[in-house]
Amino acid sequence: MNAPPPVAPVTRRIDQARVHAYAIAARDRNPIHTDAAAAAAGAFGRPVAHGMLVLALVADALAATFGERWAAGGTLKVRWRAPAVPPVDVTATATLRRCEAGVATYDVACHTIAGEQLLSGTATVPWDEAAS
Amino acid sequence: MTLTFHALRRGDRLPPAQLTVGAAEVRAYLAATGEPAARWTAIAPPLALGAWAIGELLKQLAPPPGTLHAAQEFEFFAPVPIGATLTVALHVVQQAAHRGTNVVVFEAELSAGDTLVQRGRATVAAPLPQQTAGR
Repeated sequence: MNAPPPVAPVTRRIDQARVHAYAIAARDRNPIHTDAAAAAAGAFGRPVAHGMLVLALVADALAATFGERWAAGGTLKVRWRAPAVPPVDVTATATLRRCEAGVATYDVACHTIAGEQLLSGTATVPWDEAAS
Repeated sequence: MTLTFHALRRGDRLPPAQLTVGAAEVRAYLAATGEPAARWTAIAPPLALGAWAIGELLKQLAPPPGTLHAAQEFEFFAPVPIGATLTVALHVVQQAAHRGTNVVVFEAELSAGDTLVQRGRATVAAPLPQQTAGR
């Protein structure tokens, strides 16, 4: 039996410099992420990290474990629960829930060091338990 | 072309876009997210493609004040080599206004030629104008 592997957590600091770099690299220059004045009028009153930047930690953890298998057949389904306000240390986790019908399903989440949940959801990866 | 978020309805299609997956752009994405660059030297990180598809959406659609990216789904169907050019097709699959908030679900389909390589769904919520004016 070839059980799906555990996924090592990924912890990374998300600071304003990283948010600025992500805004350029991801082509998402919404000023609520990078401009204090614009963010002050928004929902959170101050700049917050892109949700996709937080989600990138989950993808990092899964890609580290599954490599090209992740890119060739993975899925993600998440909901953001709270904004990531830089600077903040964020840990992404993926916990195996089940493996059936050739698919490994993981519960995924991101938390701050203080324990606040930033996102939660599920990820799946093709996995053949019968393969050696 | 910039579309109006609150005018969107289910079934609306946005103009398709071309997305070239450049090595420099991949490196910049990985440097920004902190993911190891050595992992993605031949194929593109799939989440980067999803992020750039959202970037294409933002080019066409200025988000109203107070807009939140509430939820996201991705399905990755095939690895995409660095250097590939993809077509991004964007359309509205759900739209509903409830309690002063307009919730729109966008679907992005990324294709390499005739091959669908990725599908993403972004749930975006924005306060309706009368709610914005009241705050």
